[in-house]
Parts: sequence; C-alpha cells; structure tokens
Amino acid sequence: MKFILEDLWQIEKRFGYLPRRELESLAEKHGKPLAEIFSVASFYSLFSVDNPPKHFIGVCTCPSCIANGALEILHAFEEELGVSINSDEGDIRLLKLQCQGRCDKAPVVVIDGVYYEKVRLENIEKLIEKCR
Amino acid sequence: MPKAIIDGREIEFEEGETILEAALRNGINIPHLCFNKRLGVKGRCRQCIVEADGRIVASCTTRLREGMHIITDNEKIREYRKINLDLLKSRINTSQILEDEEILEYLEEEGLFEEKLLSLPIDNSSPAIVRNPNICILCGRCVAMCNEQTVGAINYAYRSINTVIIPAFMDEINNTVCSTCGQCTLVCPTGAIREKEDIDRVMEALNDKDKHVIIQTAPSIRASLGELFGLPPGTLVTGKMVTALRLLGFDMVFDTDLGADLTTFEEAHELWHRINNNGVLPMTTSCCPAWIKFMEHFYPDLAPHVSTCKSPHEMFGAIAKSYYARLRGIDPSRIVVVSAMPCTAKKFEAQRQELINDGYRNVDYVLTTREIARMIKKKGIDFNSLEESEFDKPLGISSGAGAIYGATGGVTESVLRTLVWIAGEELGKIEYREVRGMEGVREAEIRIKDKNIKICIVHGLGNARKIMEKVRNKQAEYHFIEVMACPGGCIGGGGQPKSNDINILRKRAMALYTQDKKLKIRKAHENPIVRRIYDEFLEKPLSEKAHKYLHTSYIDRAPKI
Repeated sequence: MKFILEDLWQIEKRFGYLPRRELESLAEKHGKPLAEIFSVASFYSLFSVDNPPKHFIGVCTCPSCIANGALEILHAFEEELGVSINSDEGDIRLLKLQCQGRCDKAPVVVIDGVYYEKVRLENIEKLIEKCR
Repeated sequence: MPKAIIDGREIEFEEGETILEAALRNGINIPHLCFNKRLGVKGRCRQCIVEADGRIVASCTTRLREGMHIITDNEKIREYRKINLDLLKSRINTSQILEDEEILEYLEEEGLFEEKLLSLPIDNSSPAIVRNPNICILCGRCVAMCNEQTVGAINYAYRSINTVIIPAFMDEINNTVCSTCGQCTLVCPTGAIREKEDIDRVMEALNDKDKHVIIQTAPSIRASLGELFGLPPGTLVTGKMVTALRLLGFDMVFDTDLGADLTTFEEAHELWHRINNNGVLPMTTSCCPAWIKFMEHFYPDLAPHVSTCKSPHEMFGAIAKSYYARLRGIDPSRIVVVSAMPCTAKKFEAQRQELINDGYRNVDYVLTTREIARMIKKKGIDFNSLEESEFDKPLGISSGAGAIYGATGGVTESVLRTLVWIAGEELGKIEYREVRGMEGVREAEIRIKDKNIKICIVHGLGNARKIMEKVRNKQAEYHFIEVMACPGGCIGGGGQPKSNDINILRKRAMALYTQDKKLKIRKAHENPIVRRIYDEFLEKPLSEKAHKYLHTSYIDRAPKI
C-alpha cells in the first residue's frame, strides 16, 4: 500500500485531483482491483476523488485542534469565503480534515498542500489571500 | 493439548485458535455478525465480545491461552453487545430489511441512539443483484468474498461516518467487473446485497392465459431446496418440487438435466474435434455464466479456449422455443421459459444479446432457489406434505450425467462418459471418482484409446484465475478445464439457500451422486430424447443447425486504457 500512496500523491500533485483514468492505470500497474485503489484514495481527505477545485483549504477538526479553536476558524472561513463545507461549487473547497499528526502545533490549516500551524482567527484574511 | 475454561466447561484447544472458533467447535454459541468461517476475521461488529480473565475482548480476534477463563454471557456482556449493536444499526433503515435475513434476530429491541438513517440511492443496475447501501452495517463479508473471488468489484470507500461499501467512483455495479456470481448475497447478513427478484414478472406471465409458461429446474436445486423448508441438507426433493411448481401454475415442468445432456453431447464432440484437428487447447467449459463474464473482463484474449456451447438452461430454452414449439404446435411467441436456478449470474446470462434465436430470447426469466421457496411459501403450499410427482414429457427425461452437473467435477465426468463413446471404446467406465471432490484445483489423466486426456477442474474464481494465468503463459498442458465460479460448483451457487459451509456443500453434492447412481440412463448420449432431438431437428452434433441453436459467442469487456 505504501507504493500506492506514493503514486496517489504524484497523481494528485500533477492533476490537482485523482482522475479516473489515472487510477485505472494505477490499478493495472499494481494488479489491484480499482475498487481497492478507490478505497485507499477516498479514505484520505487530502486526496480529491471528485471534480477538482482550484484551491482547497482544509481545517483539521480532531480533538487537539478543536481544543485550540479549530471550529471557530472553520466557521470564520465559511463566513469569509461564503462557501459551505465540502461544497462542490466555486473555486475553493473547504474541508474538515482528520488528524494531520501535528497536534502539538494545533490548530492546523492546510492550503493547497502547504501547512499553517497555530493558526489564529486574525490570520484568516491573510490565508485567504493565498487563494486569490 | 492446552486447555481453557469456557462457561465453566473445560475445553481443549489448538495453539493459535481464537476463543470464538473454539467455542463454536464445542457447540457454545457466541453471537457474531461479521465473522464467517470461510471469510475469516474482521473484528468489526463487536457482537462476539466475551469476558476473558475479567477483561472484555472480541472473541473473534483473541487467541485462547492456557488456563484462560472465558465467560460468554452475563449482564455486562449483554449490555455492551447491545450498545455495539445499536451503534451498528443507528444508521441503517431497518424497515427496508426483508424477511429471512440473518440480522433480524438481533433487531428485536429498540435502539438506544438517535437514528441517523442513510438515504443513498439503491443500485438496481444489475440484472442479477440489487445493492441497498441503506441497510448495510459495513460488516465487510461481501468485500472479503468479492476479493476471495479475485473480482474486487466492491470495497469500502470514504471514511468514518461517511464509510460505504460501493464500487470505485460510486459506479453502478453493472458498470464494474462484477461477475454476478452472487457469492456476496450468500454472506450478507442484512440483505443489503440480494438477488434481483423476478417473482412479479413470472407471476404476470403465469396469470396471462395466452402464455404457455414452462419452468425448467437446474440439477442442483433439488438437492438444496428442501433446506428452506427445514429439511436436512442433502435431502433430494425432486418429486415434491415438481408438484409444488405445478401448483404454482406452470403449464409444463421440465428438467434442465436434459439441457445438461445436450451440453455434454455437444461439448464432448467439440472437445474430440479440437483434439483431433489441432484445435485450440486446453478447452474450458462454458456452462457457468459468472465464469464467462469473469473471462470476458480479465481474459478476453483467451476466449478461443472457451467452448462455444451455450449453458444447459439456454440450450434447453433454445430447443423449447424451436423443436418443442413445433412438436406441440405452439407459436414460440406464446412460450415463456422460466429457469429455476441456483444462480444469480443466470439472470444476467438470460439477458445476453447472444442468446436469442429466431427473434426470441432462449430464456425469459430466471428464479433462484431462494425465490422458488419464497413463491411456494407465499402461495401457502405446505411443501413437506406434498405428494411426489414426475417431470412432464418429453423434455423431462434426463440422464445421471445431467444430474451430476450441479457439483464441481460433474461436467467433466459427464463429458468423459460420452467422450469414451465418441472415441469408439466399447465399454466405457461410468464413474470417474478421480474427478470428484472439493479440492479447489484438481487434476486427472484419463486414457481414452491411444490418448491420454489431461484434465483440470477448478471451482471458485480465485482458482480459475490461477489456471488461466497458466494458460496465458502457455504452461497449462491440459486438454480440458472445467471452471465453476462458485465454490463447490452450482450446489454452492449464489442463488442457493444462504450458507457457504463446506460440509453442507458436500451433502448437497452427495445427494446428486446418489441420484445419478439410481438412474437407469447414466450417459448423455443414451438419453432417448437427446437422440430424438438430433434425429428430428438438429441433424448431428456440431451441425449448422446445432451451431445456430446450441452455440454462442463471447465479447471483450477488458478496460481500454
């Protein structure tokens, strides 16, 4: 599975999401059923198996980040951007993320693959500019 | 042997055995939903929790240790089980669960948690199976089964509360590599995957006075149907089954065993022809529609190896709407052929465009063993007290060779009985015990005249894949390969009473071999009706007419990348 994750990362980086035809050739290459590749790909919220947004902003909502204000940050993003979580509309997709393994730097926000740690409400506007 | 104590009883166990296995082996029942003997441990449903030396553990994942003290039932355990069960069912719509499902006995009490019911689309795309994700408890048995078959059409997708079991990219199951074997329907505890029911459409035909509705019954269902009426596995219920089908209103009750005899006759000639004319070898069987679909997805390059013979019920249907129609003076447009099959894939097969003659589908509807039982029960027929009766003539006469088609190795044995005769040997052997059994891959070598015929028999698509890889790499030096998609052959088919217990499969197979032994005619070519059909209609084996009505072709379903 380790190799599949590597490959998935390469595809995600290249296309910004996981196109179906790429996963089909990946299945062929590894001799695995497509459903199994999809199972892995859809498990991780940093992979996008649906239509590609131009940007995506992920906010970790696991206990440590929530304890440090992740939900307030998530809602601030919602309000500032005018999008709802996981919505398919627009250029930006806002996501709730599972634990990113950086609990000591909570709360964590990921924008287009770049990590921002110990995020405060007052940073939000600056972060949104990264997507403009 | 090490010992442990379960519910106060001292029990011997084997090194590495889990608590659940040891308990079940000793007749101590621990509730379990996701565990299945053949599919192994998943540890998902948490219904099998027990107290082991004072600690609550899942008995399916915990190995017994010397001197361990197990309690399988007390108030605390029951309370925990209930919480776990309530969590499992908090998202499923229990009102959509149909009768006879394994999970029902767990669902009597009301749940503790606020229900957050799923409302996902029901996948009706396949002619063989229906997926209703709204009653799926994610036990994962179907995923394990599909992977054991090396098909892998479905898997878990997404995560946490959003987890579903579904094909890749949320595709409809009909657009995947699903072989329609239906083994998933045998193990699903809730009916989230079930056969697609055709009962209503058959009833409609039965109620249409203008239609002449024929039912043909597969070799294997007479050895399994009784189980759904409480009879012990391996009980042959041929006579009662025929009576029940007549009571349901079918105009004619015929036997697919005759179709099997036709298949044997054509297929043996095809094999002999290939052997003597440098034809493509090894030749594989073609009577299993799930195997055919699997081949078309994964091994379309090897299609020339597959016999072009239609499967028995399709041959039967083709003959019913041509020869029989003429014989009885019935217009084929009025004939409806219903097949009672152990199989979900036959539903898919019946819709194939290749299986149409003179503008009529060879087979109109397929009912599984489970659907037949459901119809009998709905009609209020007391199956066990029925008188026995015989199949209608003339398409109800068959040989023992047709009877054994239902068990793995049966087709091979039938073909051998006829092959010896074609080769011109005076006294052919009747029983070929070397091709019987339940091993997943079996090999045999039979001497016929001056030739050694090398045979391989596989059942279960995983084993089929192993052999087809060999064929692709030119390492399979066989003449004949029998492939059945389901473990055990048709007796373990996806439309059979729900069980994948190997001992039950053995009993069903034994019943078929016993039936064969009792019959006077035991070779396909000695069946007088087979002879008559060739004399009066098909002319001779492999003739142009035989090709038109009894042979078929295959398509390439491999992904084009």
